Amino acid sequence: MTVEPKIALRLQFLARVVSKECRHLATTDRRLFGGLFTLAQAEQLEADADLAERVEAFVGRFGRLQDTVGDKLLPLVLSALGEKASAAIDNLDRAERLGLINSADEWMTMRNLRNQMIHEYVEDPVVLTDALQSGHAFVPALIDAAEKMIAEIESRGLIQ
Amino acid sequence: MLELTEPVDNPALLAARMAAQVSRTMSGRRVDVLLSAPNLMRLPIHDIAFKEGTLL
Repeated sequence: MTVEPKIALRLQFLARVVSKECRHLATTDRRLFGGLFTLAQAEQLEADADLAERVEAFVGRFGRLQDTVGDKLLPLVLSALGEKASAAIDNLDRAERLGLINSADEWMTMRNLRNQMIHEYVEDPVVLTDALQSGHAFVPALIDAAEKMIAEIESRGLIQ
Repeated sequence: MLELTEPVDNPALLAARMAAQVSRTMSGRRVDVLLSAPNLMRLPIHDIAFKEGTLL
């Protein structure tokens, strides 16, 4: 299977970016969740600048990887595989059918978690704690989806 | 807004899952779900939802 050179270059670029973002998210995930993020930590965020920065790094990297994979890499991968361009929800359903993501509903849930992870405007520490713990639990699925998409385009010879 | 009479263990995850389900029925349109439960803080946004929201 071949694709236009400019699409191949874009796929190569996104594959490099996504690989980097996966490594960065994994690093931040380890730094923030050495133990489970607790309610007591959420209540300390105003006073603990180091912890607040780790939370921000995690939330930023979690969201960025999801955006790059879901909004940029996935549509291009589907197009390179001969699928028609579609709305985001349809792309996620196709990705699920192709085995690139575990579940479209899970992906949408991950996306909806993000707003609840932003400590400056989530005032209830119970909600913030659960959002961060749930985000942490989704990290393996997010990285796995990214790796599957890269493996798919590599195995089809679309990128070196 | 979803009003619960029992404490909820995973409020953020539950709200995110509900939003995903509602969004799917609305062709992927963006949806925010707000929870009200005995173990969650009552915030001004809850009052607005109670006052101005439409019962579904």
